Amino acid sequence: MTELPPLDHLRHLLQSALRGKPAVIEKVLACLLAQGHVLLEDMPGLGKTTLAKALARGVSAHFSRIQCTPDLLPGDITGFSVFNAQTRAFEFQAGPVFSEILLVDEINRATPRTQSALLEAMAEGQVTVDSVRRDLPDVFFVIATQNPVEHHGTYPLPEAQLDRFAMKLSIGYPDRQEELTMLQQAVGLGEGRESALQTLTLEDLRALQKATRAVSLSAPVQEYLLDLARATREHPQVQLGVSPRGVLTWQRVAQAHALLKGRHFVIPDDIQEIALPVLDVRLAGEFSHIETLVEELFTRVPVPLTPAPGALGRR
Amino acid sequence: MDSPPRFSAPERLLFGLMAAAALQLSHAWCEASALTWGHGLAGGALWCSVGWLLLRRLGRRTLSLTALTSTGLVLFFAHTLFDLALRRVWGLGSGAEYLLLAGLVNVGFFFLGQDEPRLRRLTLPLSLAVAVFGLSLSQGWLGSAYAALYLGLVVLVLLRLSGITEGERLSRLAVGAPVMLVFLLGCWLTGGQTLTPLGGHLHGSGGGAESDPFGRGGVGNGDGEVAATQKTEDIGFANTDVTVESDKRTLYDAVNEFYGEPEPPKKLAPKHRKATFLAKEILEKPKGPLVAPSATKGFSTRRAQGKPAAQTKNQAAQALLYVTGRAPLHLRLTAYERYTDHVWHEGKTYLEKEVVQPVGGDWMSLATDLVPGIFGAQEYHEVKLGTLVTDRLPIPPYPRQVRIDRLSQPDFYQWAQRGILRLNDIPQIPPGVKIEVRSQALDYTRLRVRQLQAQPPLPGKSTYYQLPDRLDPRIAALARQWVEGIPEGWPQVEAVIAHLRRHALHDPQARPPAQSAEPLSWFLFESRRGPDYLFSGAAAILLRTLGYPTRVVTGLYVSGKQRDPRSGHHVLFSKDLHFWVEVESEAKPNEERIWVVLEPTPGYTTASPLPTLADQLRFALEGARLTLKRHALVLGALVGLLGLAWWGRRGLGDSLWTFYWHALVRLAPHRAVLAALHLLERRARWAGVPRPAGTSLRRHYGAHAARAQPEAQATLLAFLQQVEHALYDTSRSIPSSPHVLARALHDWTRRRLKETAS
Repeated sequence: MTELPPLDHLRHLLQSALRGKPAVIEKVLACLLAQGHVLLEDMPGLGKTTLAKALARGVSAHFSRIQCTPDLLPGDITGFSVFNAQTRAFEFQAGPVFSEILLVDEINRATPRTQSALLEAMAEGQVTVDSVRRDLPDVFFVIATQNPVEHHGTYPLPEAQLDRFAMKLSIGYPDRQEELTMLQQAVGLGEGRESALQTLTLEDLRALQKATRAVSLSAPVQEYLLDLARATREHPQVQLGVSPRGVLTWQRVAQAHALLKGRHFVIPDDIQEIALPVLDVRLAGEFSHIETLVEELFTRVPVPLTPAPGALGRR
Repeated sequence: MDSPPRFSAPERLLFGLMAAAALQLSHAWCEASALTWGHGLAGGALWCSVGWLLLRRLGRRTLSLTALTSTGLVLFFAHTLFDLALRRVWGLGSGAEYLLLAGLVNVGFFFLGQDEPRLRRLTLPLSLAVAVFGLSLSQGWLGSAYAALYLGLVVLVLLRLSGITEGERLSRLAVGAPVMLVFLLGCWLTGGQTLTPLGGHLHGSGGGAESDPFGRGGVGNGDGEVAATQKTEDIGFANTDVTVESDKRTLYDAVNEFYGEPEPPKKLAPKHRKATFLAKEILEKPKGPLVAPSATKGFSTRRAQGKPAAQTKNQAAQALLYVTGRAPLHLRLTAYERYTDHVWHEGKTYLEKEVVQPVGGDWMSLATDLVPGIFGAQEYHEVKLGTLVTDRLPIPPYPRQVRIDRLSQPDFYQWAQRGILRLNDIPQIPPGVKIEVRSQALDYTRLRVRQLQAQPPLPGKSTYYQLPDRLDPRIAALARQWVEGIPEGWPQVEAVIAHLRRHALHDPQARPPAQSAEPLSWFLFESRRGPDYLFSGAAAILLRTLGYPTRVVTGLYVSGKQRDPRSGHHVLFSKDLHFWVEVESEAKPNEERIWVVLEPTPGYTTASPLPTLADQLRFALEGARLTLKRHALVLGALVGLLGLAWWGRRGLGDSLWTFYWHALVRLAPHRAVLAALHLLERRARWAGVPRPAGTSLRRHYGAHAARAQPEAQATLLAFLQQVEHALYDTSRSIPSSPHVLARALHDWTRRRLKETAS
């Protein structure tokens, strides 16, 4: 295995930006390495923007932000052509979507039309403006947020569009000590501002994403993943189980999780640990708590303990 | 480069073990004794395990051709040497065919351990040959069932072969399944004899257990040929029809052969010597009929030394009778009533119109009403005639029903003498005819309380009471002395028999000297040793002096020692001819008087009645009580030990599994990781903290590690890392380290797992 760019600095940077949430940061990183997109569902003011900005800074990426409102038009996201009186030609003004890290704040306040324009960009990695197809950067990571409490005047994302997100996360309130540290930093009494750490480049990120795709899965582990996915479809309380595209995403995120743990092969724990955010964005049904459902699924499918053919070798 | 092996090592090992098991099964099944079973199974297991373990170690090196050949030869003959030692020490042994197959098993295991793939592949045909031929030596359904199991396994393994496509698999199934079905059908139709003819192709030891205790089957098994079991191995030039025909003997021939010719009277011409077994009256009139039924036929108690039948070359072909069923058993042939001039004279033919009544299925019920209440449960015997020429049915003494196939008319049967059936107008029962009998054994303890009145020996009474004209007065005195103070009836009869059994020694070769006046006096007062006819004669005369009706009966005695374990038959020869005495019981009105078999000769016994289920239960309980009482200390200690073992079963099991794991690390390091994981899982179960099937290893044991000391935590996490690499890492980038595994197994005992449970 070739030497990979170190992720520790990036982790440190993100943890400084979002205190006391290492698990959330790991999952966001997994999503980034798996080339997925993440939906953050949480209260305002919990650090979503800070996280996105820190991430953009950490990977030396171009960062944009869209604040969604009902009057936001697709063109406001993708960009539009304007007439240049000097050159007497239409010139394309790229929208905020043409960036590497994109924060889409309160995505459920945008109209479905605008949402679908954004989702095309997320799924295809391209936008079409004035019948001209324009490719987005090869590193393209969307962090969308939505407020779980305030539903007035919102347009909930349909399931088909939710499936474009790799996972759904919530950050949650920090614990008391971390919040206190945050307060101290704000008045300049605590540690100083983030020192200029050496972060990753986009090249490093591309290398990491390539390495993620190379992380191996043994046949029994793949069968375990598939058994779990099929169990979601057969569960009586679930109306909409994991789609084949969802299984692919699940596998990719598990690969990224394994890489983040320093392994070049996936173990059942990788699948289990990212199961909740991956399934949360996909499953629909009559269950009250997705956590209970996922735990129940785990108990239904036994963890494979048989080595893959050839794994132990023969005499 | 060699093609990849199509059978894995465990599959080949399984085939080898199944073949070895087939051989042991057929061997032990044939011998059918607990000792042989134990010896066979223990020996087989020992050979298999030692051979397998040692030879795997040996097989890691590439052997030179010389070493390979010499080791193979040593292993091939190892079992033979072992068998020779067994014969010397315990008198146990196996036939040549078993030794041959056992040698092949050893060589098969040896090949299994070799590095050379061609040798390894040889294991399969070897084990197949051993299994098929081994099973062909066994008889009955068990061998066939095992053969079917083996065949099923072969088909299954063929289906699971690696590197074959689904289409090939289906075509194999299409061929394999009908073959198996046809085989199973064959087994079912032939009653488990499908494989038996194959055994004829083995170079066997020949003969039956009678002539050679280590001989089983093989070419020239005259025993089987006479018994007409129609097996390939029975067909040999040793026993032609001519040989068998020439060996046919009448009862008189057989008696003369075994007990010796009667001493010729001085006036008898040498040319009549052949007929000297006949009574004096006939001998004096040599022109008369020799074998016509006559009340004057007799048995002389003065005769020359007999020729022991065991000296004959091919004993198996000379078997007089074959009997199946419970032993001991007396089979009546002739009864003698009158005793004059040292000759016992045959009783008269007992004529009665109604002998048997048909009861269905060719079974004939004997028209006699046996005395109720003194017999045990009904039992079943089969008698098949061999070389004995007779018209009488050699059947147990108290028959209820008798059956000869296709003899469905009652008038086929007639009494020859009282209690002895014969076939009407048939000069001899053809050899091979099977006589089935349902009979009951007499319960002598219940007989004791029945009445038996002594009659004074007056002239004119029945011949059963008659005493010889010139009777030695000491005989009557001896009888009176023996019954002094004993109440009249059966107790007196029992006392005489018991005294006689102690009084003299059974010596088949003892003969009264020519100058002695009366053989009975010589036997009772001078030598006090003699053959069985003197015992029975003495008993009859002693009892007659007391006034009891007696007769001397000759026939065949089934001791139980003549049983051929292979066929399950008791094979009877001339040496099994025997004389005994019978006393006639008294009967109430509407009851039939019966002749009660009594055994005065030491070493011979009468059959006790078949115990009922309640009796058996009572005996078993009593036996258990006595055993408990006798071995109370040992059994108590044993129970205590068992209790301790049960209490500490988990610790004991843990130690054994840990020991096994350490052995496995040396023998098969590639399996160490999984075995270590299984051991840890087992410990967790025993500690009461089993890992749920859906919980991952790291999640479950990681939680334990998190609650442990840092050192133990580190060993468990390193262990888990090794396991994960072994299970899920297809590139196997990190080789397993037995030290890490051993360290974790050392640190993470059941106790620690219990302590670190949440």
